[in-house]
Parts: sequence; structure tokens; C-alpha cells
Amino acid sequence: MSGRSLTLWKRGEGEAREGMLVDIDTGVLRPGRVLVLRSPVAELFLGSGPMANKLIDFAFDCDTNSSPFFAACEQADRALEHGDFITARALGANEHLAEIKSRPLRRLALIESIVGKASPDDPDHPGWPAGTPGGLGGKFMPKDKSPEAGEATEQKLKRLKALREFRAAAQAALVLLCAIPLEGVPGVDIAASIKTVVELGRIAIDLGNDEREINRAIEFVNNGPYKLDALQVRGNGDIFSSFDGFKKISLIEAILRAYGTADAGKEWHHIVEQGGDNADNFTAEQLHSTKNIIPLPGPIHDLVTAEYAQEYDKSGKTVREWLQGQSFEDQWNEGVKILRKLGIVK
Amino acid sequence: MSEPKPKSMIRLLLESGPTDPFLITKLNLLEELQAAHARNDHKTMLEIGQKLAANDKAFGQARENRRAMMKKTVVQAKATADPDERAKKLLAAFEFCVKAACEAKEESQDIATFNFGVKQLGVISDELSATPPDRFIELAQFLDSPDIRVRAFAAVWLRHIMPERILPILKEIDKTEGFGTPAGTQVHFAISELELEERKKQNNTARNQKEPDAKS
Repeated sequence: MSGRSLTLWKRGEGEAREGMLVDIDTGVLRPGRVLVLRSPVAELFLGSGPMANKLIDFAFDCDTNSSPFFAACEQADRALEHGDFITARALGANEHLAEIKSRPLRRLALIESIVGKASPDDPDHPGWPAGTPGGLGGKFMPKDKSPEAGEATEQKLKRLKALREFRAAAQAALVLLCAIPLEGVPGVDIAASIKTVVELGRIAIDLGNDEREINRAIEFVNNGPYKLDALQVRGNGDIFSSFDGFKKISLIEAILRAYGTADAGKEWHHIVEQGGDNADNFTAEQLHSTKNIIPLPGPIHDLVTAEYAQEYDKSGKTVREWLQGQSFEDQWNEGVKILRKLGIVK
Repeated sequence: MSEPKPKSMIRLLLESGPTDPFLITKLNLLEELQAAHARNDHKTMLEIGQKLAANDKAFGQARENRRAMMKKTVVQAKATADPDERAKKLLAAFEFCVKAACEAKEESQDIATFNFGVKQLGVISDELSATPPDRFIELAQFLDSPDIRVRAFAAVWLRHIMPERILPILKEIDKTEGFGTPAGTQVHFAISELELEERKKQNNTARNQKEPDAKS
């Protein structure tokens, strides 16, 4: 994702109003985004919402808001200014950005450039851009310290239940590891079995990875329960025309909130599921909104989705099928209720 | 002498509740495999690989056996000629299938076998309804079962017949069986379903009461 220059209108030669719409995914100015308009006589930066304020503060006043992400962007911009493209590239910035002479515009485009590379689903660029200082990866939101949280016996029970359920998730992970067909293991013939050895080695390594993932999930639960709006990337119900759009746009919010998007094993959870009948019954904007999508550790996400595959009663419907017969609001309430029962949200 | 290696989190979790012995064997083998991999001991890795494959095959066979046993119990009960005897056997099959299905999920997260078991419960309840005079209601005897899973499934099955009696039972079970346990998930959604139906009913009543007022 990067800024795209476009002509806004043109009355005559030399009077073109050109702009750079930083949010090119939707083509509209929404909260948290900045729209840049440029004419021969002026540049206009329009922002909406607190996130846009931070972006404009960074672009115009070099204010990093004590954010390691903005600090990395600042470092990248300085590198671009000084022609140090190796450093800029190491920080995730494209050297072509140096061609943008307007400093604020360049800094906004820089953010887009870095965020565009740091997709949580991109195996080559998982989360935080390369070189981001502060080691934020793996850190979670500060937990709510209210006396109600964590102290009530009921709450402790919830945590115990959650641990019990992670056990099931661990089992599920192990079940996946059982896929070694008999014919794939040919006797003790080392020369003929290099491929098999490599495969077995991979499984052994996977086992270690699963262990770490479960530990992270348990840590996540031990730090909870969270307020729902603390889990939501942005609680004001921003909507997106696709899940891909959500992932790109929301990443910057997640990074700025030090929310560990780069933490391996985090997955996006749709409170109201996006597949099946829901895809036909609800609009993309309903499904792909910051109200409906939250990041969860992989094992917790697995646990919830695995339960949805469970047959419900003699009707032969699965839990998922039963849920999909309900209204969007009822499904959302159900989804939140489940997160609450798992001790994830308050 | 060196300190014994601390148990992994996966092992602690698996040992904290009912776990299929094949799964524990597999974990042992995977840990041995990890150690052999660290030593770059290819010969041992292959030997362990053979054991893992045999374990996998036996694991799969055990799952098949569990499903076959559920099926056989239901088929035998259905084949019983005498209605009283058939009802008795069907009820016993219901209890057996609930336990077998729940164990499949509890011990190895085997959702496929769990779902197979739930389907058998559907067959049993249809057969009970067809056994004169409609014996479906006899599932109510399980509402006092000491086994919370049997109690839960009977309550879920009977929720539309006697919702006033069933809802408090479901709520009581919901306090201890969390979402994610086999019975807990069923109970959770049964409660939600009853509550949603009740709310829709109230909304409809309110709407119907409003309409005549609007005309007047």
C-alpha cells in the first residue's frame, strides 16, 4: 500500500489540484486517515480522528508520541533526507520516497510504505517493520487493574476453565502432527530416507513452536480478562469493504497501541464469522469492521472455531449453522458471550 | 547427577485431565524425536518415525472402534422387538453414546467422533419417539443423572418439550461446564437458543399489542 497521486479537478492548464490520498483502499476520508490535497498555491492536509492527529503531529512537528513505531519512521525519514538508502531500506522504507520533496507528505507516505510491508499475514514480513527499536513484539496491552478484575473467585474459575480448554487446543495441535503415513517411513535405510528425516525433524521443531504458542496464549489469558474495547483495534466501528482492507488499515492502529500484532501466533478473530451463510446474509462492511474483528492468540482462536464445528442437537446442525440463522446483532452478542466465558473479555 | 528436565507445558496440560493413552505415547515419541533431532541421530529418528506411524495407525483404529461400538449399540437397541425392552435399550444406548462421544472429545479433541456420537443420539431420540406410546419423554430420567454430561445432553434434547424445567438445569450445568468442554458447549448454545426464542416471543407479543392501539 502506498500513496497515489491523483488529479482532483482541473479548470485550466496549470490549475490542476492534485492530491495524495493516503487511504487509497477506500478512497474516502475516514477517522484515522489523512487526506492530502495539493494545488499550485497550497497544500492542504485533512485528518479525522485521534489517529489522524498523531499522524499529522508526526508529519509536521516530528512528534513521535513516544511511540517506537514513529521513532523508527523518524529514523527512516532522516535516512531518506541524508540519502542513506541502505538504512532507509533496512527500516522498511522505499528509497523512491526521497523523491517527495514536501517533508510532511513524505513522512505520511513513509508510514504507509512501512505499514504496507508489515502485514501480519506476510510470512516474509511478519508484523513489526525491520529495525523497529524497542522490542515491542510479543508485548500485550496493559491489563485492566480494576479491583473487580482477577480477584473474584468466579474470575479465577474462568481462568482455570480457560487453561483446561487450552489443553484441548494443545491436543488439537498434536493431532495435527500425526500425519505420518506408514508408507512414508521406509525401514532404517538412511540413504533412502533423507526426505523422511527432514520431515520428522520439521515435526520435532513444530512441537517446540507449539509449546511457545501455548505459553503465549496462557500468558495472554493470565493477563486478562480484557475490556472488549481494549482488544478491538479501534472501537469506533470503522468499516471496510474487505478483510484484506481491514488488515492493512488496522495494522497501524495495532502498532501504535503496542498491541503485538507482530507477535507470532496472533490471528484475527471475527466475532460474527465471515464465512458460510453470513457471507451472503451480511454486508462486507458489517463483517469487516473494527467492532467485529479482534486479534487473538492462535490457540484461543482455534478453540473457538473448533467448537463451532461441533454438532449441536438432533437437527444435525452444527453450532456454526445454528448461529448463522440468527441476526447479526444476536451473533455478535453470542460471540462476545463466548469470549467472556473463556475469561478473555470482561 | 543432572537435574531432571522440567516437564513441557504441553505435557503438563495433557497430564492435567483425561487424555487418550495413544496421545501420551505420541507425545513421548515426539519428545524422543526432538532429542534425536538435536543429536542429529538419523537412525534413531527413523526408528521413532516407524513407532509414530504405528501409533498413528493404532490411534486411528481406536477411533474407528469407538464409532463402531456406538453404532452397534444403537443398531442392537433398534432391533429389539418388544417396545418396553427397546425403549430400555435405547435409553442405555443414549447414555453410552453421550459418554463415548464426550470422551472422544475430552481425550483427544476428536470432533469427528464426537459429531458421530451426536448423530447417533439423534437416531436414538427419533426411535424413542417412534416407540409407542412416544417414549422420547423418558429421556427425562437422565435429568437426575450423576454424570453431568448425560444430564446436560438429556437437558439439551428436552429443551423444547419442557423449557421451564430445563432452563434452570442448563444454567446450573453452565456454572461448572465451561465453553469448550463437550457438554459445556452444547449447554451454552441451548441456553442462548431458549433465551433468544423467549426474547423474540416477547417482541412479537409487544408488537401485536401495539398494532391495535395504532389503529384506534
